[in-house]
Amino acid sequence: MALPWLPEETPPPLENPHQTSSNNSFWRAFSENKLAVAGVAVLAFILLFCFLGPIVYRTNQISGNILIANQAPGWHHLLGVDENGFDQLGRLMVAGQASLEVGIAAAVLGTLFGVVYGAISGYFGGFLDGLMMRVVDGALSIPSLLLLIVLASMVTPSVPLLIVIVSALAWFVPARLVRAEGLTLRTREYVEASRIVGSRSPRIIVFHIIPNAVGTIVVNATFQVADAIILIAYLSFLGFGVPPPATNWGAMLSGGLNYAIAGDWWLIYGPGVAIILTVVAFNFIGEGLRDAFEVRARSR
Amino acid sequence: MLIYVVRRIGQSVVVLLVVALIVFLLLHFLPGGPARAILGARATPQEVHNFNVANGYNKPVVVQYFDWLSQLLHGHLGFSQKYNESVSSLFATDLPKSLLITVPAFVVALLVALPTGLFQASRRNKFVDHVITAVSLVFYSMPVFWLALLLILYVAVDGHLLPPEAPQGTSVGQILAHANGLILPIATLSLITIALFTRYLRSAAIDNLLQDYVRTAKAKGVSNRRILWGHVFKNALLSTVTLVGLALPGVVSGAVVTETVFNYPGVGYLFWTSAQSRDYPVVLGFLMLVGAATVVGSLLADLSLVALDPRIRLQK
Repeated sequence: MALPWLPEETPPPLENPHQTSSNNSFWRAFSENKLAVAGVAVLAFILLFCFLGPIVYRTNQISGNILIANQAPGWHHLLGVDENGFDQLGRLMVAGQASLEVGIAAAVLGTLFGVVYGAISGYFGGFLDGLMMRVVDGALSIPSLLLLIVLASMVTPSVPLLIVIVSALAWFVPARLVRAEGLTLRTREYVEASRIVGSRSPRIIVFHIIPNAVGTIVVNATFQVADAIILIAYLSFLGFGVPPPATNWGAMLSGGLNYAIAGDWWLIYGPGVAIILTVVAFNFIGEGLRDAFEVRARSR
Repeated sequence: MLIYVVRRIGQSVVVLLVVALIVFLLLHFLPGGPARAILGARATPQEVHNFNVANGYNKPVVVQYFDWLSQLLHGHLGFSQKYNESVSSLFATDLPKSLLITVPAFVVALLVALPTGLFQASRRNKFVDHVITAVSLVFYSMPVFWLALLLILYVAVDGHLLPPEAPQGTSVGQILAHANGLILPIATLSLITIALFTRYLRSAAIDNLLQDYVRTAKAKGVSNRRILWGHVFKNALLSTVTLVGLALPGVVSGAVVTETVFNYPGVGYLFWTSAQSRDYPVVLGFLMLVGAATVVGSLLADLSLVALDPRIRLQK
């Protein structure tokens, strides 16, 4: 090292001096992160598996053949048959559709609400901010799973209702993050300039605060999807999800519990591995996005 | 510093009031109102009216909220019609049993995660570090019940080493009579908690290793081991305090799922069965208890940090 007293992490010199666009450096940073790229690949595979798989591997997921229930994996049924006579591999695909749809929808909805709430709280500051954040703190003090169980037990479950309930628990963290960004961003010159020109607060929040917090929002949204998928799995496992024949990965595992004690191992691996792969993929993508956004901010 | 402490306690009181408000609102948003939820769908309007008058549900909402708060301050968490017992006495029976698995799991997790996190920090970005991080990530991403299922399948059913179900019993003494059934639930909880703690402690330890005082110590000739265990360890312990505060709600929800899978009659299992049978007083009483425990836990963690870390004390 030529200059040992420099901090260890200096940004690498740009290879091509003409390539100084900040968006370019964002994509380069992301694509150089092997784990993030692997995450995208795994996620793409899972999406193809769940949504295009049933077209290729046709099974009957509406009426199970009870005569072949609990069959071990074999040539006709690659992952075996579950306790109601449904082919396990086909069910994994259909369940994946539900898990992914509800997870992504709930995370997006929760993030949208949380971003607006946090931006308002952070931009205005003061007593309003204190009050709004105490509400968030209070709601965060109750473990989300427990709150989710209580909410789910009070309503008759259906997919849209499930999305609303899960998103009602997903908005707290984005709210806090955007509030922190809002508190910093409101002191920037362009916000002051905007105010001087005569923009009203909603306009400033929508056009200045939120777009500049996009990095934090997107990174957090990725993690929210992973959390939502896990939460729905827990909820369905405990029996509070959507009723059969609709299914998702957590519901598949709840049946598996009873038969695991009898030794039927094939009911457990499919949904479990699917959940882990999806969650890990989203986590890698989220961390890759976070690092890439940092590089982008540095190169501006 | 005193101002900080007072302000922090004031914040906690406000948050506690918000938690009480949330639980109170849930109680009132019950389908059909609390009367219908507790008496059942077949109750006649007269019975509903009598119930409302007897329990104060016909007063204005704000008055009800303050009644609810004063009840809480006296320790009345509600009354379960299904068990015909007060919620507090139900918790008093079941909470010690839950603590019998959550506390050992927590302690084991701390004892394993501290050295592992420090070890990872000292070998950061080497192969061993990556392996441990990958393993932690897998455990951290898996649902608790999946891990429990695997353990039941391979250790209990196939291996016949431990019983697949947790010991049953109404008192701690009865539970301890078959203590080997506690091992799998504790192991399940510990493994997930270890993964969570190791991640956190590793980054806390790495942050410390990059500080100037470590460079100074190395320049003075202090051995790496002494730096790690004498200095970084103590600072990592500070992060442990925050971890303990943050982990409390997670351990409680994890315990709910673990107790359900292993059929262990603790307070988490009580919560689940009550939610399934729509026994709302128990469910909401549990929410209140856990919410209060979280707020108090994080307050204690913050105050301990102020007491333990001279840098914070001197700054204020």
